[in-house]
Amino acid sequence: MVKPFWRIGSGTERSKISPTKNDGLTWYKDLGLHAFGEFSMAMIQANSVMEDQCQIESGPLTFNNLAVQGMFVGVYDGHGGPEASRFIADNLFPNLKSKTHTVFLILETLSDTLTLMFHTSTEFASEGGEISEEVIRNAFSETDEDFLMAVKKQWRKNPQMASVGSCCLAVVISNGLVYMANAGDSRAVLGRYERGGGVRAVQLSVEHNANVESARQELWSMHPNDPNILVMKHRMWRVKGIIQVTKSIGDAYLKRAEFNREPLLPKYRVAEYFTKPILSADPSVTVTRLKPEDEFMILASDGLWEHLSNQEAVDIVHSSPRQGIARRLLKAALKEAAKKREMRYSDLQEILPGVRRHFHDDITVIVVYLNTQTNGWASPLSIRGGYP
Amino acid sequence: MIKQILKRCSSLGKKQSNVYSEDENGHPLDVPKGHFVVYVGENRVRYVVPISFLTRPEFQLLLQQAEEEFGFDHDMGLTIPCDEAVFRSLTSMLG
Repeated sequence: MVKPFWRIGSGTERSKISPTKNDGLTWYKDLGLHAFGEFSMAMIQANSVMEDQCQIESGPLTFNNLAVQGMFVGVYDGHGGPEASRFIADNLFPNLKSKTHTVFLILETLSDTLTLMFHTSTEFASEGGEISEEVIRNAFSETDEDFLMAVKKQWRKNPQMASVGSCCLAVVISNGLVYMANAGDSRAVLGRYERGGGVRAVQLSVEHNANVESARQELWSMHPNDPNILVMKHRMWRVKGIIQVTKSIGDAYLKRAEFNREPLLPKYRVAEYFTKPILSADPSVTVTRLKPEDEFMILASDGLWEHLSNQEAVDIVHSSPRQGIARRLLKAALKEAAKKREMRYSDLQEILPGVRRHFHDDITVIVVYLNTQTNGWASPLSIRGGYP
Repeated sequence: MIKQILKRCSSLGKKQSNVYSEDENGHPLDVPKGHFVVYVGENRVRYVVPISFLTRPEFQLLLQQAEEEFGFDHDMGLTIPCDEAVFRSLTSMLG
């Protein structure tokens, strides 16, 4: 059975902007308007249940200070089921917002020495209610901990939840800065104008996949006493011979030994007892100041990048109309997938979810156009794709 | 129909490279509309099969075997870890 997997979030949209649409296994919004320009989104399902999720939020980035405006884009590529990616879509942005509190410092002199500091959270990590690297890291960590707590609550009834996880790519644009946080193998790429003409692909994210050299080095350095932390299986590196991603939200069985036991299926169990988490949810974070020559950003799950190179994707976006650009990228990736299976694109499009996973992965792609001239006060917006 | 498919399978079965000539749209010339390619067994023998096979539980079982063995990463085409004779007899029952 094909289940529709989309819903429209709350928020207002300008009338000239195209609506969200659902066409078979594809969900898309051809053009929308965010605080700093336009955007386009598209997703396609390959698994029997859509495991990718994504969202765009544009407007206030805190609960208590409307002056802190910006946009938030998230791409969540789940594995083992859709529960972790859905959990992230429900919780990561609210967690981020609640941590971006405005800090009020009121100095009051009582008997010459008493200083009172009022702030709305003991975990605040921002100055003047702005986004910071620490705020984002804390939001990732809280989301992971809360998911693991949900797994624990369901352990007796639904132990397989311990093997569900998700990659998590989040980008926040505020005050001329791009904060990119990534745990897993989704990717964010910037399209930057070159002086000599054309647009160059600048990859913002670091990928945490065991088949990337830097990810292996990081894992080996974090687990110096475990010679089997990475195992080559069928010409692919896998963490403990099981999973390719080296960072994720969820995957409780690789984070706490309490979940590494029956009744979880043997294929999700690690032979040795461990105390230190094997996978971490701590994202790699980059902060980039937007330049006038930064034309757009592409965020996508690995389902897109296994078929298109950074530069191929950037060239397509640069040379095509904005309307429907995410769907155009999706189509380019699917054409490549069809070619790899030595078949026609039109035939690939006939294949039902489930078996379709043998031809390509769930794919999410979001293109965000960057217009640094915009004042950042567009109508608030909240869109989510990939919901069942 | 079944005979046609098997004939096509057997006539192509001995080619082991996936470097085939393509038409102007990038379609391999020997793969008719409604078909795709799998590589079977240790020698990765190339078979052209109809996409209608994908709806059959018997064929889905083969794909499940492939997933358990290789995951979903097939750099060199969709590989089915199954004895060629078994593959032939199984697909001969589909149609």
